[in-house]
Amino acid sequence: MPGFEPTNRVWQKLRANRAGLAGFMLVGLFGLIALSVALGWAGQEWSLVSGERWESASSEHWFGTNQLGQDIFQRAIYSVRIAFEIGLLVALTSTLLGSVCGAISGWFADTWADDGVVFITGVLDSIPFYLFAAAVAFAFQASAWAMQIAMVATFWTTTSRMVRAEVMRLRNRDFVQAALAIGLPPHLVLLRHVLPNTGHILLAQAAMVFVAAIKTEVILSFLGLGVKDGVSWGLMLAESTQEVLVSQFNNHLAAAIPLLLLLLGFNLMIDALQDALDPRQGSA
Amino acid sequence: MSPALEDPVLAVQDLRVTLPSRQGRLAVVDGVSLELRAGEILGLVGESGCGKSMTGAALLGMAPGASGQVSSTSMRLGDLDLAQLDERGWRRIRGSRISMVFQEPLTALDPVFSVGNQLLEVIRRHQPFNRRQARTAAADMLASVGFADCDRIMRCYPHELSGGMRQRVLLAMAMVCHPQVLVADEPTTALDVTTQAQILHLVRDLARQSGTAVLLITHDLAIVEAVCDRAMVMYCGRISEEGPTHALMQFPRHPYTAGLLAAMPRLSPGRVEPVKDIPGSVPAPGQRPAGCSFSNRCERADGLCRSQVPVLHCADPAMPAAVHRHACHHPLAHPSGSATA
Repeated sequence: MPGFEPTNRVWQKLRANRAGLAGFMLVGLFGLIALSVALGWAGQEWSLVSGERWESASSEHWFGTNQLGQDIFQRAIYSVRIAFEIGLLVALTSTLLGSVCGAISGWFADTWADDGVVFITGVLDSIPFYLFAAAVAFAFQASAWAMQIAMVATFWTTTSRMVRAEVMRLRNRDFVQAALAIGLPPHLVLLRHVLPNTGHILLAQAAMVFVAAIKTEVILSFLGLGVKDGVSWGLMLAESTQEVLVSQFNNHLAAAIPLLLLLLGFNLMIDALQDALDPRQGSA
Repeated sequence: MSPALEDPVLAVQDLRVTLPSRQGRLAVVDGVSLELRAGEILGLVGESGCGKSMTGAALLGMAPGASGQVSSTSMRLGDLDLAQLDERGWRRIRGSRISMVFQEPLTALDPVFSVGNQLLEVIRRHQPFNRRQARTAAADMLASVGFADCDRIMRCYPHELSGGMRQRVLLAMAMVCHPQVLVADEPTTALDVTTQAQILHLVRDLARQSGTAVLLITHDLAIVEAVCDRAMVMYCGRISEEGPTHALMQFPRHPYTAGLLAAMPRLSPGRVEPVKDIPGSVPAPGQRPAGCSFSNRCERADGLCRSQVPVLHCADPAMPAAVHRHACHHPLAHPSGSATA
């Protein structure tokens, strides 16, 4: 490849992807909102009753008020923080758990360690997803992390199974044999050469878990098993089920539209990242 | 002093690699002995599935799969007794004193790390260098395998290089710690013919310059003829014939060697014999015939061949026994007439 310059390859590919850039900007925008809520700069009046029931949008209440007279804009903004908290925490934890278990089970395939992991994932996967999440959240009701525990318990199995399959495939590849042949001990080969090659799976899985966590939060909150201390898009949607019956859509739209935008942005961003980071896709 | 009289760098006696099966443990490498001397290139030839690659990996103490086992009566690298090494000891040897080049340059490099990264990993694993010294050593090594712009190559990812360039990189990784022994497992099979020649000449030059002994595993006798000093022909996990390349190629004594040679296409003007294949195929490890494992494909085989395993013995009494040996009860006649029936 004459004249090929390997540096800035990732950056160039990212810049060329317009949909991806739009995704980055959307996620970045929501990230800023979440950060400013977390730092106490915005969305602090989410629980304050500041108006009458069902006021329409005004300069004082941008999205109007809900049944109790709380400002819907404040609540929608505060929910961004909750969504990021849940999404990031669940995505990181279940990806970490899934990749460690999947890597061990794939590397030590056909040993007791593998049998154990496969058995556990099999059992967990055989239970219908939302039912299981609801059951775990119910069982841990006393804990503030009930919902997060429920989600991690259900989401890590998919990551684990995908990483296991990939590790089993990579284990017999020449570069793994070559890494052993330069004198690396097996755990370092697994850590330095096998797991990095599952990065594209981890990235895609983490993104899917992030999205799934935000969606599951809606359902669990609706069932009363979700966010307890605070407000979330799921709680807002649960509230709005009574309001839409009397043609009050503000609460519903203020939760649904940001939810949609964040999920869309996140998916676009992940697609772009995957294309740019995977060196195997760069070959001509 | 002729190479045959020097002490070998690597001497292996009765190397066996076994795999578990329903009939008990099967020997896929069955009593191979070999000696390698500094700067020498030894060709290990045979059809697919005859145990060449297993032999190569066994020299690095690497058994096939989780349940394969390697054993030998003696295995010495210089003054070091490899047979006494535990796994930790082997890890210090691998990549530094005995290293390996794999067949597929496409897959033998980790796709997610740059070339420099992988080269530095080998150096930092085995040499007490700091970052700058390691980079210098890496760049020097890349230069000595024929790269002009080493800094750019270091930053490249494997998919950005051609097959020949990748094989050079792998060769650089294998040679960067100046090993005493290099095992090259079909290093040029995946490359086109002109690149093959370049890589083979590079291997030979590196071996001569650094005194590294090379075990070149191949199925291609033309490669053996081009670069190897000596050759061993392997069949069903055993050595059927070994000797200096020219003696073995000109006057093969074992019918299997002769069969391989007849199956080799030649374009030299003097020789227009048709290419002949060897009837049948290599039997699977569990289905090898008793006695000589080639007996079911050999037209010279008789009752003796089917009952007794032939041992390696001297091909020409006029020459020292170590020079040209074969394991056949009914070898082909030597053209000088000195052969014993």
